[in-house]
Amino acid sequence: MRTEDDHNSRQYPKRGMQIVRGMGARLWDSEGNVYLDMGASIGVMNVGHSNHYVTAAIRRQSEQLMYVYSLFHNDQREQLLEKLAEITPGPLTRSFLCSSGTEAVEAAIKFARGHTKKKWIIGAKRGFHGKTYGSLSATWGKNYREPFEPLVPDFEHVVYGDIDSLNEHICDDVAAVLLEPIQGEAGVRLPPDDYLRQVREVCDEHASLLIMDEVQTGFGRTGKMWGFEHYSIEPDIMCVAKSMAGGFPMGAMIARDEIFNLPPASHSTTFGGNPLACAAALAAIKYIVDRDLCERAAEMGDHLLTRLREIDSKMIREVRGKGLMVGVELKRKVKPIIMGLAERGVLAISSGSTVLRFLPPLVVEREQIDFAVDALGELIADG
Amino acid sequence: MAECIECGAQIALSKPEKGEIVDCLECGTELEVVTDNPIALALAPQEEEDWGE
Repeated sequence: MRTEDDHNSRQYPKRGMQIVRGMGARLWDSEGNVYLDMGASIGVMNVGHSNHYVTAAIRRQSEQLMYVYSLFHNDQREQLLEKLAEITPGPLTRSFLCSSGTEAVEAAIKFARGHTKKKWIIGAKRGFHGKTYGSLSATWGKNYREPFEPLVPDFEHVVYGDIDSLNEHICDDVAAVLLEPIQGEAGVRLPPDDYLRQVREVCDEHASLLIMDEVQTGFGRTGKMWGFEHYSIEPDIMCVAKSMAGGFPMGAMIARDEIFNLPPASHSTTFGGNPLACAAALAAIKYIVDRDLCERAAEMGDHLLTRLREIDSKMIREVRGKGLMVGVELKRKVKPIIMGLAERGVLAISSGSTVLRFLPPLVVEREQIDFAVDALGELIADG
Repeated sequence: MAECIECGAQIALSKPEKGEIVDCLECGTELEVVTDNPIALALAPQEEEDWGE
């Protein structure tokens, strides 16, 4: 661990254990201690660690063809593109494949501006979309933005969940409105039920595109395949990544056919759509569909929310969430609680300084949820 | 209600307690309740957080 600390970028505050193995919702450290991964390693491991569908696909494809550039057709890429068109809303039939969420958002911003020939991008206060320059410009947190200014121009942030705020800032030179269906980094914040439908209408009135950032909410996390499905809308563009390939780096910007009308080679990335990542993604998606993990996330999420709301603690301000995307907002700093949970064998993550965020693998067992909630109760329950 | 000391936005607080941490929804500043009657806010002590998504 010390050698890693001597040579890394100093950008990832460490938890003090060296994780060497994973299976399902569990992780093991180098000393043999076992942990319940209630953060799914920042929402990546929806299908569980070392999922056997994914590992088998990676093993098989790595012996067949690991990489070929997208100048050539490839069977795995073809199947994945077809599958993405199948599992997303009807009009979204084309994808730009990449290797991360921030790349998917970069692509969405560029294609939105290029297609509409408009310049403004509207994001939301407390929104998070990544940390490369374009996506960072859409991200709101000043701690992420200020050290790197000036950012990309012509980005504006409105109050999330407040349609009047959007109406005050929208104009006919807005290329796109970029939102998360549920804000994750902001502390698992759900919009009012009719908000996204109203946003959709405002976008249509101004011929602006609606981009849904499904990087965290996608692939069953919230109890439906996509977070926006809870609000009965369809975006023009969606960005996905994180859990897409079961832990293998993969992302995609998925959109309507006519949005991909830029000249060839306007936007590309070397590793986008590589056969190994495509094979992993196909396996992860197949597992999510075969095992109906969306329904499982809804069921287990209800159980998690119910159990958390049963904790009698003055420290809790609010418990909220959808499916297995759950936040517990505390009245105190959350870091000591996260460390206390780790000592009890439960790994959770924070959203800001006061929200404890649970994003367990969608394969998490009911008994594992109970174990995590009991550990939290020991730490914060009154009396 | 209390007022954010950074941006002046109104912050709703239900049964505020001394030492309670609250985020300003307008500017994102983390604030601490330093007295609860009357309510007075100060910048919350900063420490290393997780790295974000």
